[in-house]
Amino acid sequence: MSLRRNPFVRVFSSLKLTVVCLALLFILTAWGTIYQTDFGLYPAQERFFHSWFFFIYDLIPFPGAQLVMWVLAINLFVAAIPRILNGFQQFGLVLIHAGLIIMLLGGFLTYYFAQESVLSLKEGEEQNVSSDYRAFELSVWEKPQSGQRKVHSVDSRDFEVGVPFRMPNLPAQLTIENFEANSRPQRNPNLEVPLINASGLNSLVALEPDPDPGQNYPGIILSVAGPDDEKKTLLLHGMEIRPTEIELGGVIYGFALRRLRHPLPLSIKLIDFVKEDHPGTSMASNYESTVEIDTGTMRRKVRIFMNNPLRYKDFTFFQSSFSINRDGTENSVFSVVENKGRLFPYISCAIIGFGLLFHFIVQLVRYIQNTQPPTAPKS
Amino acid sequence: MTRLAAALFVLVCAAFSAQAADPILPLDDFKRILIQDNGRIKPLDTYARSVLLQLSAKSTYEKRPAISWLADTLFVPEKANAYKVFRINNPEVIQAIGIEEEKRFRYSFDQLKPQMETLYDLAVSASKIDAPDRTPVEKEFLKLYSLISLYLQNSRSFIFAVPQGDFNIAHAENRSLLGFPSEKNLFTYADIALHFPSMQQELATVFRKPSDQRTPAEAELVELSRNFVRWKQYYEVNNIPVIPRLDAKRDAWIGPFEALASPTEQIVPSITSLVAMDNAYRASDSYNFQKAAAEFNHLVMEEIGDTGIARNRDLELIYHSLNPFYRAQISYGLSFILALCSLLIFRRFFYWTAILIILAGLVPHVAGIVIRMIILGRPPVTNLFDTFVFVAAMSVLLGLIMELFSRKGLGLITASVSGLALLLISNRYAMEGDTLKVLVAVLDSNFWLSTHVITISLGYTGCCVAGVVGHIWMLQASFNPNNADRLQRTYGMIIGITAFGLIFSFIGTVLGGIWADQSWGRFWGWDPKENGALLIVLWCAILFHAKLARWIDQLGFAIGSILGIIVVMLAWFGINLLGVGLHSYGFTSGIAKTLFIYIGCELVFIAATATIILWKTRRLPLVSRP
Repeated sequence: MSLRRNPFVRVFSSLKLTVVCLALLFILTAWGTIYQTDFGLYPAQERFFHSWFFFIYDLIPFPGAQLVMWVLAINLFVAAIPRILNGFQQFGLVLIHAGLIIMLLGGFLTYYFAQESVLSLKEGEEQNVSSDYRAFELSVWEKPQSGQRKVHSVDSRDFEVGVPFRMPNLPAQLTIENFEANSRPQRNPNLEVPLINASGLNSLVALEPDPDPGQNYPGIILSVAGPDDEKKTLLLHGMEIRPTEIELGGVIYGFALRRLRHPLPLSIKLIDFVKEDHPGTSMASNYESTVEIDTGTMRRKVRIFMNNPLRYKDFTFFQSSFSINRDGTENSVFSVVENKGRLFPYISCAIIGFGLLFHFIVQLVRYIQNTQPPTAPKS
Repeated sequence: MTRLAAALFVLVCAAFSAQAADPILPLDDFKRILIQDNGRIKPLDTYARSVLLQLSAKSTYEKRPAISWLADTLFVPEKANAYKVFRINNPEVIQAIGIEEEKRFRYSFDQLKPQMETLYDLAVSASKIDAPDRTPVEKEFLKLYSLISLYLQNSRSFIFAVPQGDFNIAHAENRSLLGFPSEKNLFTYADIALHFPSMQQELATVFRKPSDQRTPAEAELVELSRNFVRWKQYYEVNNIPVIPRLDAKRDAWIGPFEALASPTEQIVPSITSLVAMDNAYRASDSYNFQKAAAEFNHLVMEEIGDTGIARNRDLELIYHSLNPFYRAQISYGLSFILALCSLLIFRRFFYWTAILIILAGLVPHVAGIVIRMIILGRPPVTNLFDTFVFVAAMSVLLGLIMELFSRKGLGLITASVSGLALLLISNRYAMEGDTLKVLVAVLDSNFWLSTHVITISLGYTGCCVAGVVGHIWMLQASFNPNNADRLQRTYGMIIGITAFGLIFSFIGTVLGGIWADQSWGRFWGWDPKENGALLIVLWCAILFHAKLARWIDQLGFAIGSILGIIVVMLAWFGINLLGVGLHSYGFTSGIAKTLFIYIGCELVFIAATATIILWKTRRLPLVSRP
């Protein structure tokens, strides 16, 4: 059977399929935007734009943007190939659609592999890890005399309640006795419970998980069985700032339940943060940070400000915002993005833009030639 | 010959353009006084217009220019308090406050003053409700309260220049102690403030004495200083920032009260000029008023030393007196009517008059945009108001280019309608006050403003103009669906302009993505404004692909282009009504209703014309040459 008669090819190269996909994408975009006002960006993204399918009234399935875009990508590919092979006259259109395929591919790459996190630094502070916006981790470290410490952690999504496990730097067996994905910690002085916690917390109240995962703060009850049969039970909560420290076999270890840390390819130190307002207003006209980065091979100063991020390997550091602490000092907040597919949109957009202009000019010239009456008679 | 007649006609019309009524006192120097407002240094003239617009939704008061109203408010507030400037549309607000309803919806400060406490309580209760949950009435309470605060800030700002009973010094020895002349008793806050630091020592000794041991003169001194401190605390916030303070750390300008709070030798001449202005205005002494204003201006210019600011100020005064966008609207409206007339009678005369008038409108329109660029030092589009003005100008240009190709009046009608409609929408955004604004940090990039914002605006232009031509196609087809040539020509225009719109919308959306990548770290985040732009691109793409797939014909495409205007409007400012996302910096209220009415009208238009067309053509497919 010739390629042209193959039903798969016929369906997937059909222009009508393109129209249907574009229309579905239109509906999803409009619907998702309105949904966002009530439920927030993250839930809207998950339901409409990152999903393959979702259900209306929990019953009727509707395609999600991921499905539609994959079908569009295949449609573009299948429809373009025969046209190019048969000598596609309209070069501009080829460019446009080739660019669109590249853009969709870049979008998929970004969706599957990109990582966004946040880094907040006080003036003088240096960090080589950033924090996830949503996920949490259980971190354990041996408290050092000074300087850096080595931290081992377990992603909260990998927690198994009741199953004992070990961590490489700890001579003890750990068991998560209880895990609440969203909870409120309490300090109840009347409760006689042998839980160890740095902030004096001694109970967890389970809460309904928020649809926006960034708003959930987990809590765990962790039992630590040390080498000399010493058993200690800790309570850790995601909102705590102070880590809980216990002694095992003469060594002090720190425990914390905190936002998942992402290692950075460099260490970054905030030297100075400057915020300027438009005079006489509280509207920021400019804010910028001077940082010093240590890439392992050198240390150098960099300025990070609005529309001018720091790029290093696949990482980009943006001046995102700032916060003012209770003691009046300022924190500069950076958003950190790791994205191997970063350049795809730039490449694809250049190709598509060029294709669009090319096609438009060709059509315009043709239109003008058609509307002008011929001046010289044909010989 | 017809062209000459048309030109003469236009000149005659221009000669009849009205002049604003002359103010009572000459305000030429007064309106040139510089003030720092919302982060920008501007002439008092602009400030006056901005404040009056916010209070009254008009930039004149009883045919007097805003600057004249401001002068009365600053210098003779007793008189100004009786002026009906507060515009309150919602009768529920009036009823809640408890004042009598006015037929023309405008109220004076004197009318509102007795009920200030009630309004305050209402505003406090409204502020406790979360912003998205407030009803329009509750929002009105808050808005009215803040407008009254704005008014008071202005009406009280010159009270330092008026002699007050609290500063009556009867005892001659106190007067000589403070270095005052002995002829008068009554002094102003300014007088006391300037001399207060010199009497600190005396005051200290007097205060140490127990009150029953003080002489009457000393008692008066104590009373005087108490009054002064009370005034200082109360009026601290009443400042219109007209005095520049250029020190390295803060270049915020200060107002008279702030200056008097820590007086230095430097500010004395400024304060003296301001007091002289106040006195002269009250006495209706035009000569001295103008002299004092000119003196004050001179002092300020010396202080800032930057001639660029002076040039911009004069440019801004010209800009406002020119009222370029209003003139453009009138021209476009007139041109539209004349273009319609040209279809019926005296074709060439009306046609050429219409062309001249639309060009006569385009000149101030473009000049206005250029002047705004010079004043702000930025590309033409920086806020929502700018987008409408810019797209209006581009639409007129696009329509005129169309006219150059077709010469049938199609382009002319499109140009005039688009220009007029878009400028009319822009009027709504001009109501917010001064449309020449400074930018928030993230937008502060001339490169992206001139690339992304301009291309998106051109995309809007294309889709809007295509939609207008779509309307024309629908009307042409309803009148005569068998005139295939005419319909084909119009249809060709729709296709071409939609393509133009698609290209620029796409490039603009992409540039927006790149800007977002540079600024926030991701090319695309399904943010409402991004989604809006995507909807426009998708819509145009759907139209083209549906046409290629033979799912729609000329009628379908024309309807699609009209619906395209709705998509553009929703993306343009419908998104801002949602108030969410990284892009919510264009928030305004009261537009939702207008938007829905517009959408309703369009749907009715489409339904009506489509019905006529389908009925006339007996539901047969039209001759379509895709």
